Amino acid sequence: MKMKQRTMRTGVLYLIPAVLFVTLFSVIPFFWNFVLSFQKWDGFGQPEAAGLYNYLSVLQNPLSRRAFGNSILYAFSSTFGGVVLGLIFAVLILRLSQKEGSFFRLILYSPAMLPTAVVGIMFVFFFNPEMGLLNNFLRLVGLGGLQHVWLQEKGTAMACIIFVAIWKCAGSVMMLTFAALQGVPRSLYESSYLDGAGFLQQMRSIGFPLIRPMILLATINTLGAQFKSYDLIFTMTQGGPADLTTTVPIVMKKTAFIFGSFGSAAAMGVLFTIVVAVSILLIRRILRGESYEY
Amino acid sequence: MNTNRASLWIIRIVLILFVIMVIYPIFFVLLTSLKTTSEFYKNIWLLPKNPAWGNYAYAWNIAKIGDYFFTSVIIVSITVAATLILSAFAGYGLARLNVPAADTIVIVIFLLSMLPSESILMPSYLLISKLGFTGRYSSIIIPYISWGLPLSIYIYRNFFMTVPNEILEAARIDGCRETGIFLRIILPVVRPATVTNAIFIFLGWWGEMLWASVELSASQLKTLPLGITAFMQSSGTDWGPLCAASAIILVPVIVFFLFTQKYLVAGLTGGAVKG
Repeated sequence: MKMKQRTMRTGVLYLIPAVLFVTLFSVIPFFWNFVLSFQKWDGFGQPEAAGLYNYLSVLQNPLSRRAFGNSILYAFSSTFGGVVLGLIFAVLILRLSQKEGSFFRLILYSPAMLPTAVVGIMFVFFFNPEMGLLNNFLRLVGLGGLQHVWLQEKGTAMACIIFVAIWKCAGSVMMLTFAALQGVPRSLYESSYLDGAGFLQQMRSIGFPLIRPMILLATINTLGAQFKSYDLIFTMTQGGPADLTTTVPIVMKKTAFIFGSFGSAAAMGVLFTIVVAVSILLIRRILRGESYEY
Repeated sequence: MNTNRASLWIIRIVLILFVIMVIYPIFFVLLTSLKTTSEFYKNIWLLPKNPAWGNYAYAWNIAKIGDYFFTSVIIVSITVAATLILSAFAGYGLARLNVPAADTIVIVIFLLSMLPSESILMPSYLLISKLGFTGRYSSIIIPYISWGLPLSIYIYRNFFMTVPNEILEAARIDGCRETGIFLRIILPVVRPATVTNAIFIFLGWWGEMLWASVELSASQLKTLPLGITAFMQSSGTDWGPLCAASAIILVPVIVFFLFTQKYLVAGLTGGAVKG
């Protein structure tokens, strides 16, 4: 008993420094933001109570509505694309030898390691209308007619950004699902092979159901990460053309630091947190199912 | 697995195409960083005839990428070191030292690690200015440490849970002090966790822009990603120096990746599977 008490005291001591940091810069700001969202404040004078004014103004403002729509579109479509592509990578690599597979995994994972801001800049080069790789490639293969001013056109800007986001996030899905697929015992596939199932059928009826918990985890991790849209979009389009690709963090920064409306920006933060939480719960619900022991 | 040769080659070819799509944009940046602007306009695809190292000198000195590089190195190395130390102790306390309500704390920490930074951006900014940190290194470092801690504690805690209690008990019976046990016996066992965390923290903050752009907008201090975007906006068509600047931020990441990748798989899946 005495031992337990002594270790407890040590444990609490170990925990305190980290808890102080986290409280100061995550917990307190989180509640403060909540309080701010019910106040009218320009950052200098006295804050005034404002009730639901900030929430209503965020919900009625077309720009912030578009920002929410874009954030959701960006997060969901890049997550969907990343998970599908990551699973394809994992399944293809599963069929190769260990050594070959680890080479492909290393390369295909590498975009996940790059800083998002640099990825954004790299793809500004890629999509550049005159000297960019994409348009040059199209000219080279005689498809010059398909050239676009990719990041400045209404129809293509968001699609290009989502493409880059998928390019970046597929690798970590691959890593997680590949490890899970490798853990499925060969014997399970072999019996279905004897029953005449092809490779795709084996995956669909055995591989994927068995690793469903890992697919869920990878999807949720990716979705959580893809809601952070600032770095990529800011470097690629700054939210343009004409605010078409703007997302929540970009509008939030403007609302607070350019329009001086801290209360509305805080309300956006609260609403955004709710959107992220609901999205994650929704995905959990959709992908939930029986999990099997093997 | 049962695979015939033809389909094996189809798989290889498909994967190689994807590899090209992944590698080429990176390769293009490195290639272009060694071309003068006029050479770039004449030949986009091929290797540079004479490597134009001047681009690097220009980016490093004139565009001040060198200064930003050192700023980022200082910020990120202090952040990585401090986060690792704080989270290792906290994770160990939560996993093995009978902290009261440990399970609840772990859940709260997990939720905090999912918290979008948008929800704490403004108050953090106000807090920093109240504390008088605005424009100093600490205005970036202290929030980075705080925001990275939850995930890092969570990963450490999951790894510490896998260390058998017998090791701990044996060491205690031998009369080791708790801190000694932790530092000399337990910590070396969870090296994959330390490496994973170091990777995540380094990568997470090396390219971070949202907080840095909010906090340093009116400051002389600039981190590398801020410096490069500013450079990009001011020198739109100067491809060579711009690519050199991008390469300067990329090379540490690539080097870091090559040195740590063998730990990465274990760390990624180990921390994730045993959630």
